[in-house]
Amino acid sequence: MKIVSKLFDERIDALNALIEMPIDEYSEIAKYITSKNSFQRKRVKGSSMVYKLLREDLKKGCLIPPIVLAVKKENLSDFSDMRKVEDSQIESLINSKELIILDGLQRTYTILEVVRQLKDSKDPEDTETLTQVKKYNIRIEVYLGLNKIGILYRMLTLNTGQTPMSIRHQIEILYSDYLTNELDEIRFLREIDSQNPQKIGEYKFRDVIEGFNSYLNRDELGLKRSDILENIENLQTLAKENKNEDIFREYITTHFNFLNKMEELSSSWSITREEAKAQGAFGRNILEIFAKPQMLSGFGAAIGKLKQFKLIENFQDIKNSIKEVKFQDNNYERGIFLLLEKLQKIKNSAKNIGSSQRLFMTYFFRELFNKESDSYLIIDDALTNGYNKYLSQL
Amino acid sequence: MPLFANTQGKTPFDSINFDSATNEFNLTLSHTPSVEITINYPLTVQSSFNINDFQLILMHSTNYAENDIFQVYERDAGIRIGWVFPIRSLVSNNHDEASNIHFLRYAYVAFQKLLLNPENKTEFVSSENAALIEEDGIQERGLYDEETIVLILSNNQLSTIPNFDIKNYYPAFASQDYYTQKVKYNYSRTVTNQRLYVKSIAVQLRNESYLEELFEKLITENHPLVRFHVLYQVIELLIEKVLLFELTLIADKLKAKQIIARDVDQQIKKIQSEEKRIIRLFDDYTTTTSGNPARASIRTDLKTQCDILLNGVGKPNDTLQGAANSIYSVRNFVVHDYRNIPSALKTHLANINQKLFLFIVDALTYYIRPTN
Repeated sequence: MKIVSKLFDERIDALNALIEMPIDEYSEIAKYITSKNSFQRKRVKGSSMVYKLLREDLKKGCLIPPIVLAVKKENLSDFSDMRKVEDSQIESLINSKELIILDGLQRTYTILEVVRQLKDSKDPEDTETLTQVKKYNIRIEVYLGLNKIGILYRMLTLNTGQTPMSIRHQIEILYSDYLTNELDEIRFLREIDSQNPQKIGEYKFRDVIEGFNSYLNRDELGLKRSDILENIENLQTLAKENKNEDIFREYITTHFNFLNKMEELSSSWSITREEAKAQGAFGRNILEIFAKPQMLSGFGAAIGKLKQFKLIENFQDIKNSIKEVKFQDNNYERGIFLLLEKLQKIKNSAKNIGSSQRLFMTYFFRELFNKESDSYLIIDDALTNGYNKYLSQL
Repeated sequence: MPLFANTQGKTPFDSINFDSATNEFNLTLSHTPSVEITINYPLTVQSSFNINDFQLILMHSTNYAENDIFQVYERDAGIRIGWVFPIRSLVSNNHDEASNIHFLRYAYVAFQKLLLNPENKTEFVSSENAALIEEDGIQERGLYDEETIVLILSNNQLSTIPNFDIKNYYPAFASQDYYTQKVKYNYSRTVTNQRLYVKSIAVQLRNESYLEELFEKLITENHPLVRFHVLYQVIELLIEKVLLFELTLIADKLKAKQIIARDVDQQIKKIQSEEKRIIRLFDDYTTTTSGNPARASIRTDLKTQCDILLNGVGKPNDTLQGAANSIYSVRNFVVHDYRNIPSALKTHLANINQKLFLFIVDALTYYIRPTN
């Protein structure tokens, strides 16, 4: 590989290195990335005529647009100032292959397919073509930076891919390193684990991403591509926020604190599976209720909104509030049944149950954590007022 | 009509496969497998049914909740013939039937049929990701709108019902706020234990072309005046049948020497007037409503709404007269004096139409020929 340019992106506080490398070298890196990371492994569907043409063009030495990678967070802990990273350090970071593909997943798969096809072919002409193809250079851009939100912002503004990934998918990729490294007492379950959380601290990674997405967008429905222009400003602000603290970490540890508090207040309340089924209950214990995606999204969106309205400074304010949260008269059964009843009403009347429950939970958490609301820190009141607010939006 | 691929020339997707590793359906062109669209299937897979054993009918309603998933029972046969549910129920696990194996079996079939052979829907899609319903515009193309209602019926069950034709049940579905077209009415549904019961229109009324036209096209008529005329035509149709049947009864009585020639004129006079025939329709040509409060209230509600208009224009009916007289009086006023209805009352015609619609469905369903 040859590092041809290094530029520092002041906006997102990351170094961007432009590299030329032969297809041979890149395909080894790409094979490793796609096999190691389950998110990269998922082939974006849509292999149409366009990619068939690209495969043929690659064999003829066409130049494809730069593929954009990012170095995984844990590999950067030794670097305090990205501006001072040496070329040799960049090379060794890339050779470590601990990278994620930000843009160019489809092109990457196309490259891998071409190499594999030519390798598997028994035609001597193809063997010759393979030798040539391996030597063709492609351009790679690599971002080195700790600010993930900043990188997400960059991905959204510059993504010109044929089949752009959904924002959710991009966030999944960005935060995929949390899957392998446990976060204090929190453990993330992947889709392929095919299990539901069994104890407080376990979360389905996908659901957390959805909730975090809602925080970023201050909206329980998360970021949508169609709102991209509106979101850019949010992300710029968030990128600054993320400079001083890892807000993904703050988001999930705050929720974890909330779960623990609810478990404590309710004396580990639960009902049997049979009771839950008979009642059509949203969940049969605190974990089942509050670790669901609707809750995570509502939680994220509410805190995002409170921050936007400058009603809180940061997640620490919420963590402090959580310590004081309580049920009215300490009657947790009444409070929990009130919640289940509201959720059941929504289930029976909503055109889109998931969205409606998310909206309700957003209003609930806003009522609960807003110092200026009448329901501040009182769960029952927050449920009633949150539900009324939800109804008023219909 | 099937979905079409965005290839050179419109080519229908004709092959469907399910990838259990990713829980996705792949629609492809059998002669060009590289062209495909992929749609995620979020429900638990229950694939024991053969899709050819079912038929799918698309309906519409603005009045639905995601949880409105009902088993459809044919009232007279007393058997379940299928399921009806909003299309969102196929893309969500949040509703009550997400773990119901019986629903899931039908859902799996319905999903495939929606992709492979959507009736009355032709969509030109590129071979990219697609979704059953448009979801916030993220690189996906929604194939159906949110207000689509799926009616999936079992051919095996239907074969036990003689001469089954879904068209004969459109009035029943319409009275439950499920329509063949996009309309905006708001009838409450009668569901018992998640079961929706539907009854065919009377045998004597099947194959009436006007009824097909009404429930498949004219039902979208929204202007109260037009809608009134369109609905009242059903009463005209029915009282014509009353006339024809009564005339045959008179002829039969004459043949049987139960009446003499001199009496014929008098007999005919009894059924000649429209008003008298409407009364006969209400009283004798539909099964009794006694013992059935829901059916009885359809008539009392109709009378109430009609009388509001009649009182408002200064032409009240005798309070002892029934719904038949009231609707006939309204009809006359609308035909002859619509221009003189005060503006405030013109909107009331919509309320009359609401009740009139329910009455005509009832009359079509419970129409009989009296035995004496």
